[in-house]
Amino acid sequence: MKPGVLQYVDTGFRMVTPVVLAFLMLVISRLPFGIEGLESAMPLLTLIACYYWTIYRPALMPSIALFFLGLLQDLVTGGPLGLMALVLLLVHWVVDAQRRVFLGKSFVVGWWGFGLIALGAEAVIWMLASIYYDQLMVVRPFAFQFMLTVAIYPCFAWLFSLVQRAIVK
Amino acid sequence: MRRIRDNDFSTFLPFRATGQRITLLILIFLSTALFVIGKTNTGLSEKARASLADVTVPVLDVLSQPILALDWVAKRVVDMVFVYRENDQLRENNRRLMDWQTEALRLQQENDRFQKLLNVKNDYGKTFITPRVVADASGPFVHAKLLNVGETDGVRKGQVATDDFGLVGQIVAVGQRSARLLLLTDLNSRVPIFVGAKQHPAILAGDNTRFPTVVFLPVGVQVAPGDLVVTSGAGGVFPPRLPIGRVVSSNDDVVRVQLFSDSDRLDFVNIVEFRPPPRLEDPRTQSDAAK
Repeated sequence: MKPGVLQYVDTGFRMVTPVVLAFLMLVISRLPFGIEGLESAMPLLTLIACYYWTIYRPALMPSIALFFLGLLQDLVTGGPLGLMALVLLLVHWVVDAQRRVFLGKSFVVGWWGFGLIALGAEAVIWMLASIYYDQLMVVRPFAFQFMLTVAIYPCFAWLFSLVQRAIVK
Repeated sequence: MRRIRDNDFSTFLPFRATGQRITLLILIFLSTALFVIGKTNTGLSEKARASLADVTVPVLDVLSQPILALDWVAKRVVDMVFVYRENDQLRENNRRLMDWQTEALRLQQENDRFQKLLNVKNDYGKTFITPRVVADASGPFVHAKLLNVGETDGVRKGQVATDDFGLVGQIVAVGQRSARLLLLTDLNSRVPIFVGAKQHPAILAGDNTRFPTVVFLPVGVQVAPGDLVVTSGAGGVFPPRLPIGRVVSSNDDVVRVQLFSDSDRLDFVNIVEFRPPPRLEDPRTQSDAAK
């Protein structure tokens, strides 16, 4: 039986949900929360989205979406254009190659893997920013951002698993 | 309802395995290219950023309302808890400030009189608009805020912003309805300043920490923790005598400044209108041109 138009629309909506959610998270993370020190160490929510979907549903987070997500992040944070896009794509590449290691494993393994990936990503961001601004960046905010991102990972992994269950029945 | 399986999504993807890998490589190449172009030509990325901010600022403006409300509630609760202690403190402060007020009024009168006698021309700039901070445009390597005003409100690149306590930063990019405010703590922020009562000229340079550094102090000059730091107005970009902060002791040998302004709790900022004095023509270049 050929699927009808409505079914295509339905599938389409389900497909774009993770990407739209990631965009929303990015916008919300830019709001002025007024919490001391948070502004320069705001967790990299896009990195969580990139990691999670690349492992569990790579088709729902294609590289082109990651590219635009990263580009938008660079534009709103005022960082070097292309930096986050590059980092997200690299993470996508590395995680995609290793996804069999994490698939079907316990949550803690996934969290541990994310910690390693986030550490690598933060190091690359630090390096690229240092190159861009022609000087070594102060490491502290990067370290804080890394710790916050890893600490907040379980919340978003849980949220994504709910979304995943809702859209892929 | 029909069950959706993973391979259903493949109908929407023009490429599979190899195709996806090629797309990924192309995108990685593209972002690297953007990064390199951005390093060599900053104007282009600035333009893209300003036009994007125009689109996102109205959205952020609406989205930040609930946060403002929550913040308001939290502040009320904290106020309520500390109301007695704060009241005592305020009474004490009030007594002290009354003395200061009398002194300030006397000094102001005296100052006015002297300025009239000497025929001094002062332009400290004045606030003409008070926009709201709608987004944080910060990261580990950028310290900036997005404001909900732009070119249509008369905001121009280079204008300075203050809060109730002191200088906050400078407008570095303006869109139609949005503006980007670079904070003093940012790596790229440079402000000509005077340090201490003897007004040693120097430059305040951000380095992405909470305490910007003082650089280019004259040789042999000693500054002490507690010394007042104000804008010098040199270069004609910043109005003179805007309070910035105080020198703090630091464990490395750089001089650092604790800012008066509170960038964590910024909700509104004042944009200061300041017309720099007309630039004097260098007589040598003029005679060169005449030749």
